[in-house]
Amino acid sequence: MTRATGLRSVVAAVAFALVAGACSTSTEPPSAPAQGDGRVERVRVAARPGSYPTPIGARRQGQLQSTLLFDTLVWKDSTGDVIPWLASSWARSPDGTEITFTIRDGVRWHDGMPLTVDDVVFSYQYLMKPPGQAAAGILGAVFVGNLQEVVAVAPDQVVFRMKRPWAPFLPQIAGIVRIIPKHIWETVTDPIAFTGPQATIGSGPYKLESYDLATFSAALVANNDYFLGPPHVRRIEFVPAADQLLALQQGDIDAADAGTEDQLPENALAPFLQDPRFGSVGGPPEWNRALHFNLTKGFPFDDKRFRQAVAYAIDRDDMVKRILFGQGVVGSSGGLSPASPWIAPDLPPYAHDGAKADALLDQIGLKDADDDGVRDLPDGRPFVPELQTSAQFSPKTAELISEYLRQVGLSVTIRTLEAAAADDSAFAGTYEMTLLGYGALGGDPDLLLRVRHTPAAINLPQKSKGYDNPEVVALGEQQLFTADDSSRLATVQQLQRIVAEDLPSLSLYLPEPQLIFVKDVFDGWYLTPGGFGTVLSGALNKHALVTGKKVGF
Amino acid sequence: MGPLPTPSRRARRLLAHYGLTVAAVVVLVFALPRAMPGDPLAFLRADNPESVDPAVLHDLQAYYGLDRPLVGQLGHFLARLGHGDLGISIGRRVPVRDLLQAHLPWTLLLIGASLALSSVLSYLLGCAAGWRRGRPLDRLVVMASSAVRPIPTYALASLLLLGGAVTGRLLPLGGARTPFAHYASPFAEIADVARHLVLPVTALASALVASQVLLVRNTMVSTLGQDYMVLARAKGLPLRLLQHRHAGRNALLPFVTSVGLQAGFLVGGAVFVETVFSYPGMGTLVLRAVASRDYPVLEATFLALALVVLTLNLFVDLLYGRLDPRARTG
Repeated sequence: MTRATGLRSVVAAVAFALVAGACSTSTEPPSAPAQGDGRVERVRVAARPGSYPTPIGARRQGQLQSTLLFDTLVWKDSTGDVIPWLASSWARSPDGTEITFTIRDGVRWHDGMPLTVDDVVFSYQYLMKPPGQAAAGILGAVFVGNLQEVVAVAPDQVVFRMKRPWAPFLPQIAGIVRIIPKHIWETVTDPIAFTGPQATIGSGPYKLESYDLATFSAALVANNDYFLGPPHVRRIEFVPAADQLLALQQGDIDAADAGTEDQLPENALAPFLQDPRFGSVGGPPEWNRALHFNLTKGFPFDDKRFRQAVAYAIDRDDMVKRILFGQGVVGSSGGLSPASPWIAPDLPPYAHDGAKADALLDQIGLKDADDDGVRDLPDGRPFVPELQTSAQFSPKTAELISEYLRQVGLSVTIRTLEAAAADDSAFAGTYEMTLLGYGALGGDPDLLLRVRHTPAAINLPQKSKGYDNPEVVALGEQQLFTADDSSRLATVQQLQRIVAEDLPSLSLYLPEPQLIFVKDVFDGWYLTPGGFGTVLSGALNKHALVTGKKVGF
Repeated sequence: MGPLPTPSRRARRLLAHYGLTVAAVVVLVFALPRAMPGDPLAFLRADNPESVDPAVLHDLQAYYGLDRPLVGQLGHFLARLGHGDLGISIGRRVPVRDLLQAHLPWTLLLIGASLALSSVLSYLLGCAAGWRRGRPLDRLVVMASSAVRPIPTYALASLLLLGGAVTGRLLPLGGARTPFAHYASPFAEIADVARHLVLPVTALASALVASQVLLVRNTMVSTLGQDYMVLARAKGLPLRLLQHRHAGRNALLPFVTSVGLQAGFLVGGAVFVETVFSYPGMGTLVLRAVASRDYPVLEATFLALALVVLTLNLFVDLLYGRLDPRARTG
């Protein structure tokens, strides 16, 4: 073949491939057949980034998928209350230090082996010591230190014996720890590297059929031998979709989340809400953007009157209107979601009040010494605090705060960091004031009230840096180590009152989550109050997918 | 003047040059991720808060070798690399090798198709325009390339995406293949992959054609005035032979050099194009790994992309030797 003809062949081949590709009809996935037995044939949702759905330390979408492949002792339904799952019942000893779970009979792993109490004991023990403990990152030192033993006391009963009662045991431990098959994992010495088909064999209502590392797309098929019967939804597909609402409109997916601050353009949801083909379901707001003060930076950040003045200066109602287009609520000064069942009813609202802010700032000596319209430090030096924010979230928040503060004579410099750098800075506490975005405000209050405000507890980006109130630390322990639910509620509410007064951080606003779905495909969706699994929120609660109901089985 | 280097000496020198470059790249891909602010384990705590419990954090750092001093980490990295072990992704919980296997072929396909298409088009259009200097085709080629060249690749890709969205479902706007599709035949599968490739390749190849067609055209124009072309014409050689064997082959030399120089641009452009079209190549993998500071993935992806560029350069170097006999001895 001469060079010239070779060249022509290449041109022809490339042209053919492109033209043939462009002209051929679309290769659509097989459409969902009619539903004969009332079950739903297939539900498609947007694939999102995440880890492989291993039961040990999965992240994001992988963590969500692992709740469908694996089971926990207890679970949650649409009420947010704990319901029996692998455990058919449980009983606490009078002093709360012992919890006995009765495990269901006849549960099988995806490979056909029976699930026994030994698997349950093994799963917990695997996560309490290396290498499982670090790989999972669920059971921390405080919990492990408090747990004396977990043992099988009958062929169908497991008991947890603790030094002191652990109040959030059911939702935060028994509802999170995935039960893994001992016959597979007992020989696994490197759980982080253990991936592949064996790693996803669980007892859950779905089996992993396919998983594409490149696109995060995955197909999960119903486990028809499931202990609650064949799941209502037979197949779940995670489909790559750059824009969820566009994909929903084009019929590529059957349900779309529309609930974070960047997904709420005005009227974007209107076409769906007015279209009878689509349904929508809301849920309690549980994700917030908050302003955190770093008390280790000294005056005036360590003076609660400064923090209160900033709270009065910020018009949070205006932020809800401008940033969330009215589709959200103002944060509670106690830090929990206003919709949380743990919320204290009588917290100071810190409604926008410029005069109060001015008075407090004057009181602590932040006055305009040189008549330039900007407040200075008591010694006359200019005061220009830095407000840090992450490029991950809406830039409007920092700009609005800067404007509100300017109105009370405070000049701030906005410092925008790339997401990981901002997270690192928040973790290390290298900011003066920072804007953070985080969720789990509607779940168990231990993380938000004890962990966040106890200096000795684990460090997190949302930790109140430099805040050390012995009363808060004591009440934090008190609400954790109790078996009395009503006294715990009183303690949690008292904690919120103190935190609302001290105000180491200010919850600004919470968008109201919403799920839009195609009614004809599946209309049993709900958003679980307080989330499920670890810190998961969203619609793919397996209770809905397995039962097709909002409550019950 | 010493003796002329033999072809094997040139090859040895070339290999030594590339070997040194690869060594420098290996050190760079280790150092760059660590120079960024941020902690690769930070992203774990959002989903698994107790993973920052000091009691377990140390185990996790030790597992990924992050508890060692930098020199120790480099040694660990080199030792792993020596055994062909790319490590485990911190954020994805899968071997990095598997991630590369899933992503790299798409990027190679995108780059390969764009490079082939753009090279052929640039060469043919450039030759034709140069040959017909000043005529309508030439003016059209010059105008079109001048109009497309200043548009950044990602902007061009976004324009195509918008255009694709307006024309409905004629062409897929994202992804590399229809998810969960069942293909009736291998041809249907190839056609599906090709359909997904149309818009990304158009975006990447357009930018390349725009920058190279003028080069070929200008070289062609200057070649046409050379004495040997006058002689060839005088000999009465057929037009096709004149155009491609005599003028074209000489115009090819700077063109091939520029393709080599464009390799870096091509890989960089692919990252943007992949992002715009949600194409599951290395670009999307790199961006996610940067966002989560996933050191093992960053090391492997940077290394793989650098090797792609270097391989393209080496290929061009070798090709240059074949096209221009002087390069073999000089």
